[in-house]
Amino acid sequence: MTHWRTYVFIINLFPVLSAFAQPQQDTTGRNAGFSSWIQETHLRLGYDLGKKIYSKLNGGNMDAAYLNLGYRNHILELFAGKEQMPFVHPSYTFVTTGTYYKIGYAYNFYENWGHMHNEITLGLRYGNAGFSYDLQRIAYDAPTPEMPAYVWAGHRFYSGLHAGWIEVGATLKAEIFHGFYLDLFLSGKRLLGGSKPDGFDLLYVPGFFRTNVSGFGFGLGYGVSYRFGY
Amino acid sequence: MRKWLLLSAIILATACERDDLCLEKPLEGAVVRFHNAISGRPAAVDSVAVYYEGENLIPATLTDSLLLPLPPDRDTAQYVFEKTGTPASNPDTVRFFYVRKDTFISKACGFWMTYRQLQAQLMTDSDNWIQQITVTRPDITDDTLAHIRIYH
Repeated sequence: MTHWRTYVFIINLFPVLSAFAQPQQDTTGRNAGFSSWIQETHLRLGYDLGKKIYSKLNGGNMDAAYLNLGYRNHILELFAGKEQMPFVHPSYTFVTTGTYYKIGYAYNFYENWGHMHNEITLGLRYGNAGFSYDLQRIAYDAPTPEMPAYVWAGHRFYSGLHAGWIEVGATLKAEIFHGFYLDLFLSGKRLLGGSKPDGFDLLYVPGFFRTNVSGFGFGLGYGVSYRFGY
Repeated sequence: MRKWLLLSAIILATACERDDLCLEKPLEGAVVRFHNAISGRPAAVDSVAVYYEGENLIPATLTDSLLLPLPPDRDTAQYVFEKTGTPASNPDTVRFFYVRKDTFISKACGFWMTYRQLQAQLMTDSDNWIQQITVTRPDITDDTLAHIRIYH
């Protein structure tokens, strides 16, 4: 009979202790901690369709993909690509082979309604490429009509080239259907530094495209992506 | 309307590049100067015509200097310097040897051929009007001073 009180006490401990096992509730009423934090992040995996189509139409190949890690409206952008593109000029032709990566931060300015996750972002990126040139043709004009013009064909390699650049990029991402998005890109970029090949010039950089005297470049493109997230 | 104008302006501005035009001209050839074989002083030839591969490269002119173009497709070039006039024209054959090397000029101009280590050889025949041929400057880097001297 004396143990009955002990048993009641012990039994009453269980509901009290189980109250601590429940997740903490903050003032918004949502669950705090890791589970709510993860609900505000997303992952996006994309493929640059524009570069692929352009490269195939121009006798080369470009493969470019991107990964976005987002938390609320902040996005960490990561790009990587592999290119093999011919540069055809009336006087010469060379093929660029190389890879590049880009890393940047962007902010999504678009306010979505409901559960939509479309984006209009603006960000800053840094890009870097490693590549080589294969000069395959040089055409020399005939000095006079009595002498023939001369075309040299062969392979002259300029290897171990590098270049870096910064880019201001804006993107527009709109959902086409269930998690799949169509992304449009716009960018203004500037070449920062690059190893000039001996006896030639830095005319094309994978990821940057054609260079010019000013060092500035402009890009327009599109891709498809899939968004993983809540 | 204004947005369309702005867009077209941007597209046009990005399409034109300042480095798209090649504004420089390559060197025309080796400078040949004619000298009197006895005095060594510059002396004009009345008249000289140059033939390359059977075709008339330089028509007959009364001059003491010529610009001789070199072919980009071979390492030896043979020219016929013909002294025209009465009673008959006198052709003399000269062979040039050189080393070709291309130099990159710019994105718009591309590569140009440069000629270096020039050597000249006079083909002797029964009646040479050219007495001697010397190379004063073997590398063709400009077209101001003489590269080749022909003594006649």
